[in-house]
Amino acid sequence: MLEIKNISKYFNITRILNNISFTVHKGKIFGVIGPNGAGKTTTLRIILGILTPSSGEILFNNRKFDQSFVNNTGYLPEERGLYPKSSLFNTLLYFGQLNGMKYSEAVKKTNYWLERLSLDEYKKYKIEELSKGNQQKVQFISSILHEPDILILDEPFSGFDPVNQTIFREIIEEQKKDKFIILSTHLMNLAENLCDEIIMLNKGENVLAGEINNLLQYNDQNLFRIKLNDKTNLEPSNNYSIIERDGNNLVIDLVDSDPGKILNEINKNEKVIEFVKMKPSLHQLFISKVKSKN
Amino acid sequence: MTKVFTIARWEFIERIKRRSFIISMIIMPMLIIGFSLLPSLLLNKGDNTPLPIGIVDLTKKYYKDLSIEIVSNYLPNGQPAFFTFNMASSKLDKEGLMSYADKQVLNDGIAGYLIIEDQPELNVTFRTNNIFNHDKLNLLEESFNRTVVRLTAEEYFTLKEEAELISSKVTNISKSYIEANSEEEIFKTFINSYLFIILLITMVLFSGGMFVRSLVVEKSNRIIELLLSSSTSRELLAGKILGLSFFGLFQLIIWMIIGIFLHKTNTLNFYSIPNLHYQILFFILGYIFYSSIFIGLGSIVSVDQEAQQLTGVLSLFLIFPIVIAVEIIRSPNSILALTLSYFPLTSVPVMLLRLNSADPGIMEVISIVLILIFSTYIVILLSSKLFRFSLLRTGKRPSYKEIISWLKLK
Repeated sequence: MLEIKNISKYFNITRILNNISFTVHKGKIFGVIGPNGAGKTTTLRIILGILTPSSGEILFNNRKFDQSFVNNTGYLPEERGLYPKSSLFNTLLYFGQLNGMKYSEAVKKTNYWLERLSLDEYKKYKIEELSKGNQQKVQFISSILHEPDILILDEPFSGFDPVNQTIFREIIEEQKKDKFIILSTHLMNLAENLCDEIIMLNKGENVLAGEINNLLQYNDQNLFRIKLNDKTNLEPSNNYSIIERDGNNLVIDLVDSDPGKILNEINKNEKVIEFVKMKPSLHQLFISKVKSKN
Repeated sequence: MTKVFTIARWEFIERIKRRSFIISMIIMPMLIIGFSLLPSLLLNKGDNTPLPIGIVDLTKKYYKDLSIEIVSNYLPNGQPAFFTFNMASSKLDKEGLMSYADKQVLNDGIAGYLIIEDQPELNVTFRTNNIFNHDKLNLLEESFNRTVVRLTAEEYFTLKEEAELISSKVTNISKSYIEANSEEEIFKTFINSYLFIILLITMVLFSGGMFVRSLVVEKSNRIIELLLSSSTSRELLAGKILGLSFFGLFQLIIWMIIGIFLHKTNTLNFYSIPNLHYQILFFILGYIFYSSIFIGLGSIVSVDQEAQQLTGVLSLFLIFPIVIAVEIIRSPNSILALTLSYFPLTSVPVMLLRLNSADPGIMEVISIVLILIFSTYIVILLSSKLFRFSLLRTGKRPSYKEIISWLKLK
């Protein structure tokens, strides 16, 4: 297993990450989620050794995770980039060999992936001559070509059209069997559907962490969807906070309050036509946690 | 180590595949050499006209027969290749004769002259102030050898025909240049140095510029992040330096092939370049030194415009000595020339100028070489720090304060 233990990171005096810990298990997809600027990419860069943490350590199967594991790691950065003037085939061979593959092995695997992702006809094309979607595919192949044990995907679906999203989702699911996969995203619904475990970051802090099913189950008792008769200016009170607002539809978090009491409280000023306990989404859970922390 | 070579191979192959490389590497040197040699070539007499050659025969044995042999060489158009002048005179001693003959050469009265002396042994020197066609020098040498053989045979053998069979070489004609310290001489020295300096500037700016631009692309495209996830910054730096060195070596080999070709075809005469071995040494040291600066400073920049500014500033140090070239050639051992020779940023171009106009002592050359090697080592150390700390940085250029703090870090 891959253990991230008490990682903190400072840039000068600015704290980017504060005491972050989590464990990634083989065969499971671990999601690092949070809004932009939460510290997701910094976390991934620290795992990859691109950045050094100010404190804390990373262990892989109880051994210090350092540069010696570099050939065993695949990385898809958030900001995609390849050599625009180089050919697709040579680019993939280069990254394959840079990740420890032998030339013949790299050629074989490159051909396999190009065929699988319908890119074989563009083999000799320069990267700049490919469509953006195809460039994304090439970038994705470069991260998995050398069949690493650890796969780190930073916002893997950004820029993909729905068709490609489905294709890559299938590939990630397929890869997960014998790999440690860490995926970062700000898309909560994606993480909810794809990840087995998550850590939620906000401003470098751990907001929530654990198995998704447990998290959703554990936190589901206090979220209610209410529908009012008319558009409302209902304000949060000490007994509940408003998680979502869409016209006369609201999602409220009752924290520890009694639902009956709250219903009566709201009914005093508004006409409630629906008051339903709901299973929270990751997104709602995140907002609820951030608000309660604030 | 494998990663270092993988990166180096990529850097090398990706560069030599560029169209700009072919243009810069083949057409540029041809243009530079062409422009550099044009004045010298113009100073040379055409190949289809007979060349006036002076003969200073201090032995008083060979002039008549040698003259007949020399004028018996013909040009393809049927004209004699040379005509000769007897420059010996009983009124002048050797120095006086040479001084008179030198003036004749400088005034274009003759293309050059042969000095024949037999004390302590038979020795022939050809003095000229110009690049002289090697084939023609060979003709003069063959003519002299034939003359000596025939005269010796006539003296010791009864049958002339037997003597004709003796084809052993009697002597080589050594070549010497007339030190005139004239404007023309300064110009020639400048042209010789100019060739090396311009080649150095082209090579450093082209390959260094290419390196900086590729780093800018890698930083702006965020490829650098991908590279750093597959290798350490040290491996990346070592691979890039190695790739750049291979690239430089490849350029040098191409230019040497062009140079050898020009030498063989007598367009360029390596023998006319004084201290050639030192010049090549300083050229290589200069390339490594300036390339190392490029790597360090190049890693700070994030956009193309900054890369161009950087290239411009660095080229000033290379070009500056050319601005004061005439002064350095006139007084190669002046305080200014010496100071600039010991200052690493200007030492290479200044030495290329000085090596053409003076003969700095071996100790001086060694000390300047050692300073250059030490400076290169320091530059590589500092560059690797800048490289390591600025790789993931994009957008705003780091402040001087930040750069200094990176340099202080271990």
